Amino acid sequence: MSLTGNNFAADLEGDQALAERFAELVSRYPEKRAALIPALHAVQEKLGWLPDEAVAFVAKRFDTTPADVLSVVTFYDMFHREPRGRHDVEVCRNLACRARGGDQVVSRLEKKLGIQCGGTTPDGEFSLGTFECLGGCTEAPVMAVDWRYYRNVDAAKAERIIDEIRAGRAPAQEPRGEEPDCPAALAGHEIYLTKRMRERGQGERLEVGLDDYLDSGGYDALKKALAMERDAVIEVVKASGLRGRGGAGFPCGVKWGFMPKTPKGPHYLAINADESEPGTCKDRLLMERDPHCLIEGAAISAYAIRAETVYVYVRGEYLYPAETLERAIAEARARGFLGENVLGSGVKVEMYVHRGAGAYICGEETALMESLEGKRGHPRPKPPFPAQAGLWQRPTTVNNVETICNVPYIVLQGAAWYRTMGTEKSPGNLLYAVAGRVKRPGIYELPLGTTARRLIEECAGGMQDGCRLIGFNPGGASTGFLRPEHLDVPLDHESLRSVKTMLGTGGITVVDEAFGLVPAVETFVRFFEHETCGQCAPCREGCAWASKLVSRFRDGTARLDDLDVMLDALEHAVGRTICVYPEALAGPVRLGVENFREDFARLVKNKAAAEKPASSQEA
Amino acid sequence: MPKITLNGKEVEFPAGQTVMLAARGQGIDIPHYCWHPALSVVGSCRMCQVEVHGPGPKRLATACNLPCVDGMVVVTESPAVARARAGVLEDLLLNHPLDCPICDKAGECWLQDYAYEYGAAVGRNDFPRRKWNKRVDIAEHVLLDQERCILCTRCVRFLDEFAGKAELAVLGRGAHSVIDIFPGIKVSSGYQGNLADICPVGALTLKEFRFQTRVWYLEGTDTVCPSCSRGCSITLDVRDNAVLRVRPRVNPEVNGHFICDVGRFGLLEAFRPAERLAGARLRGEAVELAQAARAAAEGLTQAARAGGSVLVLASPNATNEELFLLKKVLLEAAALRGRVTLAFRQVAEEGGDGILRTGQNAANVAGLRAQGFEELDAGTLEARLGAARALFVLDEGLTRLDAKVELLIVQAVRSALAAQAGVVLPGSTIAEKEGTLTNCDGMTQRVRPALRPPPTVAGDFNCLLALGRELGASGLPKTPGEAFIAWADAGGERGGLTLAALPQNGIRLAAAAKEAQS
Ligand SMILES: Cc1cc2nc3c(=O)[nH]c(=O)nc-3n(C[C@H](O)[C@H](O)[C@H](O)COP(=O)(O)O)c2cc1C
Ligand code: SF4
Ligand code: FES
Repeated sequence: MSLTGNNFAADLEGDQALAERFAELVSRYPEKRAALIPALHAVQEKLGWLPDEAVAFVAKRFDTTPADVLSVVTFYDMFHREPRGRHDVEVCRNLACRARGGDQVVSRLEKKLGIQCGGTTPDGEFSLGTFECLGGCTEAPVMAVDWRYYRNVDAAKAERIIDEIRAGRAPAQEPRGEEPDCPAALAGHEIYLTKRMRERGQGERLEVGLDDYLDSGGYDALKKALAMERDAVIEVVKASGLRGRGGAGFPCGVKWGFMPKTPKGPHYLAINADESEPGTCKDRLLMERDPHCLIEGAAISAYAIRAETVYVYVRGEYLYPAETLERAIAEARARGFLGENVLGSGVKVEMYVHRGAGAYICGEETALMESLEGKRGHPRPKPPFPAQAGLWQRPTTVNNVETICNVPYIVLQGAAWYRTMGTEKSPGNLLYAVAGRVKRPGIYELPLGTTARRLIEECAGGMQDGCRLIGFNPGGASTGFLRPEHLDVPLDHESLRSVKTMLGTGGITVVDEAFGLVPAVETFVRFFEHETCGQCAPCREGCAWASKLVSRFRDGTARLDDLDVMLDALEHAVGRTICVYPEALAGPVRLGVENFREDFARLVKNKAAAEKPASSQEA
Repeated sequence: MPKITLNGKEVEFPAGQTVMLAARGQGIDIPHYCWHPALSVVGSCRMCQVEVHGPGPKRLATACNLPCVDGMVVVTESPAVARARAGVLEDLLLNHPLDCPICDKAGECWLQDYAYEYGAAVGRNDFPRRKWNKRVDIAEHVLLDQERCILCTRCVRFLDEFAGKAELAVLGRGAHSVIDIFPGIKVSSGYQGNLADICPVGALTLKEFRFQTRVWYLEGTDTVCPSCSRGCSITLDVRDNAVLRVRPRVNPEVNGHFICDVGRFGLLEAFRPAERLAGARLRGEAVELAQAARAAAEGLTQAARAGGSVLVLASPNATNEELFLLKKVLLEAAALRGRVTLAFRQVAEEGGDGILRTGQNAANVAGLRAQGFEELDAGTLEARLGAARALFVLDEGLTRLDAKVELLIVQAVRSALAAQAGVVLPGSTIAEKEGTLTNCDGMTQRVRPALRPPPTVAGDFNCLLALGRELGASGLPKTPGEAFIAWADAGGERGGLTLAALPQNGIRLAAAAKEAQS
């Protein structure tokens, strides 16, 4: 390798602090390789990007080849292979942010900084880019500077932030806004997940500190659980009917029951905080505002499934939530809620935060495990299932943050109490998010089975003045688009199946007439094209093809039969790939086309061409 | 044993076997790209889908990573399977450059073959195809065409898992994924030639083979690599009496699926000898073989009569049949009785790579030992050379001779000693021979002639026959086939085996196992 006048290699070799950081990172995992992505973060923090020399340096430290490390680096959006400015400015380019003016923020920033997206200012101060859904949908548009989030950004605010940073005065991060109340909906409903943060949120960030947490009954559930048999804890969770909040809605207690009862080696709990499904931002709220709830839930869950180690896989963009959680873990450990001997019970539970690096697919549970092991986030074929062979081929349970946050309440107040909320098959409360052009976007805790109408009209105050709702995304990109007449469908697992979709993550995004349904579908298709891991031929190629086809509806070159080709291209992949990713795309596209075919048809400019069959060529 | 029903037939399977392997055991080759029998299973190309009729609902599944379960019912061809494969092919062809007319792989390309079998007649893609680099110089011998690549990752896994170093990688994600090296660090593996074989399409090609020929003009001959004592099974691809390509031949008993680059590229050189001993010579003059043989026989006889010793240095690359003949010719000649030492120079064993290369760069040391040839280390060799009156050198590796001998006979393809030899007999390359070689593990495999030697070259076996005739020997085997039988019989129970009937993967013969007894 030619060293073109730089000292990256020598710089890294000679950095004692970095060496110590590597050693500490490596100590968190049973296998060294797992520290690879955190180590790459550490090197990028130092250099601002990952030049060849840095990749080679890391490869040497991890006893592998530079090519191997480079394949990991280039899988993740947050790692840069080009020099970057001192400040990295990223604007969300997904639906909720676009619907509220994200694109305009981007163009204003381009003008202000005099660079195109992807570029760096000549003075080396700023790099500008766009990112897929940053998980700030209810505070859209969101912009991140060095992964510190700014909310409700408009063009003027974006300029102001740049000016302030130039003047050296930028706030470390803008405090997250208080979640709006929804008195009408709240009347008569018990809330538990967000109760503490509403009542006891302190300081700029409205975070529930450890003392407040303890003062309001915190960690009582852990004490209670530790006094129970492990299997009794599983039984309570089973009886509660708690279903996974990560999207699939699998019964949590049943999943725990798959874990071996007599461990023949380590078990692991992996908490899924990858939260990258467009429209979803509730796990971030839980981690930022009430981190001890997640820690308590994790300790109980780990105890139940006989795991001594918990990893929280936090999407890389969530720098602040990761830091919050790490700090809270240290506090909890210091007070004996985690560690070698939890509350003197003899039970060991260690908990670590593991940051991802920008790849939606790593939210899929087996991709998450690959990524945690320091590899590209390629989903694994199942079987074996994680409970048989997960992290490092050991029995592993993967649960969503919100799922785990339900656990302490269930343990403390019982399954019967839990079942007083929600529906018979979907019990409990859900953190519904309402985003898009509504008056009061926010995260609302309501029983499962609440209708979108109630959430949009009562909680979020209806559409902004002058906006007309033409459709809505009921629960994250993978759930597609429903029509206004579906507003009264209860948002729970069963009811949504009857309209050919699913509950998803509970993140609702409304689509207004001005934005248009077709651009909304296009935004999601492009998202899926960007995020497929690419190992399965039909998914890799099908997503890309679908994305090209749908973009024709924007530039006016579409034929009507492009829709059918697009559906067919995705159909190639459905049920025929390693993970369910193609389903996550094909479902919404099918639903979008079915529900809004006339919107697409309107964009077919040339009616004559529309009648013609697709041009064919020899294959 | 548990059973699955495969295309209506009950098939037993060992625990843990996949449907892919169970099917192959039945001679059913399920279409696949990413799966390779010698590599880890990733299940990503999705070409190997089959229909599972139970247990559980009817569904498609990839055979390569589908474990057999007792009572499972599998159908490998059905309309749904055909649709799935056509779908995969349409996807793989969306961005494929379709440059078959200039692609070396055409004719043995799995994309071509499966597209012909399962693909749709027309593609529906009217977008421009993806642009990548069509000529990436990734290794000394290998070029990568990123546009042709279907991302099966066989190459990546081969280097990581077999060759031991992850020198190729998938860079990027999704539709932007591409195979590449790390900038500036080329693939250094001594097994890189295999990349072109395992690539199911024309993405990885050998510089040595590029634009040499269309593959359908090639004729393959199965034989054995003589470059080291592993004796890997190979196929020589020949056109117009020239070897254009050396390929590994699958042999679980010897080399598995691969061969090293020394064998692959070294042989290409060895088979194009720029210079060779193109005919018999007597004191530098070209003569008929019989004349040279007669002179050799007379010289040997004289030396023996005079009470001198005759030292024979056999070639460590000679076939078992040649060695047998050599032994018979010289030991049974009445005139030479008691005067002949059959020996070979010790071949060092160093620099093995722990993969296939043994570090002993000779094809048949085991055969020499089994037939009782004496192994001479450098010191002993020196002493024996000094004491010999006549010397018969078949070993091309002996490049210098200081000792004064009365008679020097050289039999070789090339020899540095040819100029000082009284008699020169023209030998043959391994590609011209018929016979067997025994490898380091005692596997005896067949070598077959792939090339015709020049008309004036009699070759090793015939030269020895001629010499034998002149020495008055009788009952000599007239062909390598006869020599094989005689050799095998002498060694023990042959069980009716003949050279032609030798198993494809070789065999452990009593004759080849016998240790030196002299
Ligand atoms: C493409 C894809 C992305 C996913 N992303 C997430 C995610 O960001 N967070 C999450 O909790 N689950 C995600 N999941 C679901 C997980 O695979 C898994 O079902 C879930 O984490 C299990 O936790 P739960 O049972 O508590 O819901 C995703 C699934 C797929 C197929
Ligand atoms: S279906 Fe798509 S996302 Fe899932 S493993 Fe295959 S290529 Fe990756
Ligand atoms: S051969 Fe089974 S998926 Fe590729």
